[in-house]
Amino acid sequence: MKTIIKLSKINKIIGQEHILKDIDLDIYEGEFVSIIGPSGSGKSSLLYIIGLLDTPTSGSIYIDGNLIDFKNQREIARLRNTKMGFVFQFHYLINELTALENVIVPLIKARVEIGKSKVIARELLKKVGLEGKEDRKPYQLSGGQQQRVAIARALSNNPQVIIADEPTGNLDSKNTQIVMDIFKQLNTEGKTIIMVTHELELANQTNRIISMKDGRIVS
Amino acid sequence: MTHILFIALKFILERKRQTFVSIAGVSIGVAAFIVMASLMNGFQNYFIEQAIDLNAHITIKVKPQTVEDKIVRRYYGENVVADVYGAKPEEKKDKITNYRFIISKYSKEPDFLGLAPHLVGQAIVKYSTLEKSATVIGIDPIQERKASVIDKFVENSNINSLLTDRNSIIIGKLLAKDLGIDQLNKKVIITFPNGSQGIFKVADFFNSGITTLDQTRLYINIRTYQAMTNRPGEVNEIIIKLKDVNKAERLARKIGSETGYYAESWQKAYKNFLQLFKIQNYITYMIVFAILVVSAFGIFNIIMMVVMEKRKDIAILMAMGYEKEDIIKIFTVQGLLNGVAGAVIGSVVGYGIQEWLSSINLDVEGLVRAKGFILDRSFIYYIYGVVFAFVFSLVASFYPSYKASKLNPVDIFRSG
Repeated sequence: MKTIIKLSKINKIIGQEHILKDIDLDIYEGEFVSIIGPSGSGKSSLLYIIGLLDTPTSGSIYIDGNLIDFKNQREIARLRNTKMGFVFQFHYLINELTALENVIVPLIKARVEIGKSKVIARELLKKVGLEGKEDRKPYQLSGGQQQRVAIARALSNNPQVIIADEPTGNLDSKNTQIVMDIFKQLNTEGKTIIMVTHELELANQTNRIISMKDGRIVS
Repeated sequence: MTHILFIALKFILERKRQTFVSIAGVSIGVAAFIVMASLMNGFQNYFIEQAIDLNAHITIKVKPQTVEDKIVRRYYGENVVADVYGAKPEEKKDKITNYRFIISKYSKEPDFLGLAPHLVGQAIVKYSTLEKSATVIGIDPIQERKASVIDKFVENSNINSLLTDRNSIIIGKLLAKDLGIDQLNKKVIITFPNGSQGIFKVADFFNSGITTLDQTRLYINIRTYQAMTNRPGEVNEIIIKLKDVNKAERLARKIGSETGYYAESWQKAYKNFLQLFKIQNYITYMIVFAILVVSAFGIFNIIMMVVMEKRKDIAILMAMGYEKEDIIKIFTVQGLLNGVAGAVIGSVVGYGIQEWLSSINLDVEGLVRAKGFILDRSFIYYIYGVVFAFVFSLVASFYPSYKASKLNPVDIFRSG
């Protein structure tokens, strides 16, 4: 299997705190990986570094075999826009925009023409079960629906990797399962999904579980 | 740029109240600038135009006496140098001796449109029981027309009557009013400084719109004035009209050095007024600047507030691949759109106020007299207004936008 993301000797130090310690990790194309661990174990920090949102203190990251140069912020932004989709515990939808407009935000950044963006966004909202709710503002949707809009937004540029930081942390069990089913469906379609969770039950639904403790991968 | 405009417009349109407040602030600033600039410059330009037309571009005079001129005698001897000062300055003839030569010399030069001799002095004008002092200007109407636009200010175009009737005068409109003269052909008695008196007929009124001139001026045929004051063939002033009024200073210096007489440009003659206008302009522009600064602070505050409220949106935009430059642009464009909208509305409001002011029919009496407000409705004030609004809103929105771009998305995601 092709390695899509490779981390080598990653360390993250903030102040006096050594958050990530010599992390080596390979993520393969088409994997559904969950990262679990107690609070403060460094799982979110690791996810942010994998998602190129944060810079490691030392170590290297390769995406599709290419070494990431963290000084080249433009290229990093381009990679985040085209290769990755983010889903967070809180949906982080823009309240001024409708569900459809929220989904087109990454598309227009990637210079997709607005008309075409809307067509793609409609398709994605349909895929996550929100057909007919395109013109609703985030506050007119339920928590589960908001998170599904966030997933549609994460999929907008057809990224290879979905990065999800406790995506069900704020949802009830019914919506949690809906979100997990969407992720599993996306994974069967070939998307690589890396999900941080503290629920073992959800982790068990993924292909691989990475356990973390005190900034290290323990299994 | 589509993504920037898309988000910026959404942010603006969804925050109608704040947007309205910041646009209103800029609009008030721009409208105030346009109206104040057109009012002030309208008045000043009117005054300067009238003054230039009336007072010649350059006036050649007998040099004013300075303190040194008061030395009546100077003794030199062995180890002795003594200056004797008199109580009264040395008598100097108040006349330009070679005026015909000066007029013919400069008439041939291309920068000069016309020259005319004047004999200027004071006199007392009496009508019925009322007496007023006046500045009497002896003119040759034919030459005067070449060197000034006196016809423009003579109400009934009777300037030729000074030629046909040597005992006629053209009297300042306000001077006539002060004397109780409201009709032509009234007879006045003029007493000249040498004690001579004459009866003169009011042939026309001189109405320049500049109060100080209309209140004191009186035109008479130069030959009559010379005869009455016993100064035959004498001239104490030559007025000059130039092709380009802006060359007055330079040409005045040239004439001064060539003739030895005192040549005064219109800028020098109206130095006090020009200085006053400068101060007036500073004050007005400072007020407008203050209004624009306040409106810029409005934009600054609103965008700063939006940035603080939108920290999570900024973080997610960054996560979705928006660069720092994009974030700066999103918020700067909001400021600029507010500025541009304010500038457009301000320009329309300014135009409306100008229209309203120009329709008001009231007698303005002060330094100048006019019917209604004198406005300079130049388009350049609109351009300045728009540019100021643009620059102020750009400056006001840049700092909050820059702060927004410096946010670290990870910190925001961690804080939930």
